[in-house]
Amino acid sequence: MLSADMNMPFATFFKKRWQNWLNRRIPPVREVTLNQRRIFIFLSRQGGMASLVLVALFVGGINYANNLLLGLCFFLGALFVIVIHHTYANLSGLRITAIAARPAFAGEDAAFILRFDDARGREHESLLIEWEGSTLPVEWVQGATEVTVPLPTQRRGWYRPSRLRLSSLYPVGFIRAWTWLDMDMAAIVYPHPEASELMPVGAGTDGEGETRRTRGQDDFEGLKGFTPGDPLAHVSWKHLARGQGMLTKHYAGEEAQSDVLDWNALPGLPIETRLSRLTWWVLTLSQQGRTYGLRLPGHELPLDSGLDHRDECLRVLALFGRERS
Amino acid sequence: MGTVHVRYWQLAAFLLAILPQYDRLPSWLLAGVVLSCVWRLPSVERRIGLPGTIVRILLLLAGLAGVYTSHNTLLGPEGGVSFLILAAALKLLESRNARDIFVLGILDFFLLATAFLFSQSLLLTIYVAVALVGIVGALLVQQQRQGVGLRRTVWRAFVLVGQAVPLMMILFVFFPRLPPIWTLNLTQSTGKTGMSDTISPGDIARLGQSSEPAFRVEFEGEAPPTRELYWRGLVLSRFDGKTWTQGNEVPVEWGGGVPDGSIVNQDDTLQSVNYRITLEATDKPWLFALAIPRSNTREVGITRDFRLLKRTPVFSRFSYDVTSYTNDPMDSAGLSAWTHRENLSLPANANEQTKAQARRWRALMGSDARFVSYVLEWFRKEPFYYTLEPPPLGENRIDQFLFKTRRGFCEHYASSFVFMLRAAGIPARVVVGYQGGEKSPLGDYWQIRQMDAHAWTEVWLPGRGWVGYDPTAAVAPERIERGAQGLANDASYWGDSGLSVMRYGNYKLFRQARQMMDYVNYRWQKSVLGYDTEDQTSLMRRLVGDTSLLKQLGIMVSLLAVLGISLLLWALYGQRRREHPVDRLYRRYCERMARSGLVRAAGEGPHDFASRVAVSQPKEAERAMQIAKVYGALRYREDAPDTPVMIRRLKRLTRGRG
Repeated sequence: MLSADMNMPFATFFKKRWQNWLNRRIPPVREVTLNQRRIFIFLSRQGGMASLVLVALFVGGINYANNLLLGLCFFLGALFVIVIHHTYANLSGLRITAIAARPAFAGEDAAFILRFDDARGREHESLLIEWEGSTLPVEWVQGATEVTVPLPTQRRGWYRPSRLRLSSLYPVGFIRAWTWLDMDMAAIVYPHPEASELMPVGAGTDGEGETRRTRGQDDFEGLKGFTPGDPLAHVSWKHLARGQGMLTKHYAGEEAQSDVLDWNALPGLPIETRLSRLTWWVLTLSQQGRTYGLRLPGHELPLDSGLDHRDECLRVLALFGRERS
Repeated sequence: MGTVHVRYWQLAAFLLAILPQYDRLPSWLLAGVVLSCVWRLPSVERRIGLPGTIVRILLLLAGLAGVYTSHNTLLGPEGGVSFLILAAALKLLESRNARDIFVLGILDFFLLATAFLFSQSLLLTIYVAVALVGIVGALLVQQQRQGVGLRRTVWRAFVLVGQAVPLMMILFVFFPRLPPIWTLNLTQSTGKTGMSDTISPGDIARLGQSSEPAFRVEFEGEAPPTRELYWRGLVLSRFDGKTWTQGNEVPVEWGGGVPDGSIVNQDDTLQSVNYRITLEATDKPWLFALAIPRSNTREVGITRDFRLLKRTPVFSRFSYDVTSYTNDPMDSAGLSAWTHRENLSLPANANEQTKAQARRWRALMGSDARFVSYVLEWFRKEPFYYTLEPPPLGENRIDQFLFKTRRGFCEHYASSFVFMLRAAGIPARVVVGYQGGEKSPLGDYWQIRQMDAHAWTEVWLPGRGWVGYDPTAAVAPERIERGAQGLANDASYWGDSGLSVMRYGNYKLFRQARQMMDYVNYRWQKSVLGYDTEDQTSLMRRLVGDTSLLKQLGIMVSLLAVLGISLLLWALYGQRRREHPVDRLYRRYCERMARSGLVRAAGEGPHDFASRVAVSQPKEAERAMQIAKVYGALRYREDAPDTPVMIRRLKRLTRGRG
């Protein structure tokens, strides 16, 4: 551990230098066409094996004074040279466009959608995408080809994967051509949904939201900003008179009827657990086609229903405390 | 990967790689290879599965024991190749992932190359080139997408191989040849047609029916006449009544010198003839040359009995330069006592009739030279016949031959002639080699075949040294004048058996074709197999008038660079996909508009461009709009209506000049 700690600065130093260099050479963009600036090329592991055969043939040819063995050795060498060009040509001219990054729940895979095509209409064979530990072969790029790469997520918030490596061993595997691409894509990762018995609405409701309480002073729960449609009777004139703006009084019974999922209804739980439960409830209510709202410290989503509303809620939950600057 | 398709390619490449070795492999290994290939056929493998680790280890041990038993070693070319093939067959039985498949592919390449250790014929080389396409194809199917058709795959492999060949040729011509890193010898492969170092009855007759090439000769200037072409190979001075063998070990002079018995160094008026011999592999160290030879070729020495010898056996074709002093007497100063004794010795108590006759005649003739002439005359006059199918001889074979059967060929005549001379007290010996040869009508060289194998004699006469006599010439002068190959055109040469008529017919029929093949082989041998440092230097001298290694490498690198850059340009700009005919029409239209001053901007849509045209050239407006509409319909709508009609319409529109 100690040595690892001591090495860390060096490792990070070089990693950072490498990343900086890559960023200068292949800056993050949403559309990139591969050219000689962006393509790296070197012997593959298989190519290493083939070069051992090349050396063996050379030694054999020299020692047995056998011109044909030497000829085959030269052939293999020539094949290497030819293959460099073919492998390079297989990546060169390829255009990669970031299409979309689909959201996911933490722990699940987020789908990153890329489009491959070639402005000059050339075909590209057998590419391999290696991205954040997942590998995905792209068999054939002919015309525009869309590829969905599922990348595993861990925590909620914005997920911006590191660079992807796009490589090719075509045609015979001796040479690998590759590039490191930052497609400037980020997926939103929702909290991992966690089921709970009690719907977190208002403060201390006990039912599944079925309980209907009569509105009363005792059930006064708090104030919130006036939104058009609130009954005028609930406006806190006292606050208005003090110049604190138009606030409306809210009552617990009201929450139970309209299902505003509330951060404060989950007291004492860790932040992530609260978010996970709220997420589950958003999904559950949305699935039941019900109308619901969401209240988080600093965020208030009014009652609504539908997929857009659900996604908006999930987005707020995902980014709670993690807003991208 | 790992598809059925890849598997078939893999098996095919393996079989292609070992096919040239099949007759060298022990039969059990061949069976094992076939078995493992069948095992990996997808239909078979699905049913019985692959062998487990224990089975594979047992197979490996059994295979190693088998290779060792068959070849007595695991090393050396033959044992090594068997070992490699065993390893490949076992690897085939366990290959599961892409890397295993690749390893086998590259092993195939190596196995294919080993075929050149045993044969370097043009035919094998052509085969290897074809097999290379197969092996590259097997590597290719692992990398390319599935669903590329067989023909397309073969074409791609062919393109790769075809592109590599020019680069290979540049390397072949200019890459400096290095001396061997360590010396090694191929194991003696038996069964080569050619001379042995003894001659027993029937040996030469066997050779006499083989038209396999023995060696080629290129003369510098005029070649001596056929009857003087006695290519000496071996000198046999020991006779046990049946078989002639070499005498005592004779000293060898290495490095271009001459042995004591020659007078080359004292007399510079001797006739000489220069030539280069290219000898087929014989697995024996002796070389063939006209008397008295001298060679400056590396590794070549001359023996005390005036034969050329190579330090190591000739395991692959070998070329050497010779200067022969044709009238330099051999050992004219006298023989050492032991040589004299050796060349007079005869087995006691055999062939007494011949001995008695020889002594009687010698006493009558008065001089050795006259006796020799008399014996030759006797051969000529008496009914002796030349035939390759003589009647069998038993005990006292010389007596039987000279006085009873009188049918035989060079071996019989040389043997009995030397016997008679020795009996008369004249030192004599049998010389074995080749006589004559056939001048190629195509190349400037002489071809000597196994059927030219010959035995003659050398007789030591006081003051003249060893003098060559050919008793066969006395019996069948045409054999010497025309050579065995010329004689072979006569039906009688082939004997009386039923097969001989057919043989004779075939001989004539294939003679022409064979000469063509010979010429091609000769060029192949000379320009490719024999291409060496000397050829490189002479090429360099012709190209740049300089032989510096640096310039040689410079030429190589710059030629490679030229090819490399053209390939790079091809990779960068070539390989353009065929343009869609509709795009081509539209592009041409845009080019024409550009000439009239309206350039379509990059990324500008056809409709936008058309509106721009309409604004600046109102006359063209209608047409431009039409073109944009048709083009858009053809290119951007999936269900382009009535495509051929639309294309014709676009053609009309874009071609018309309003």
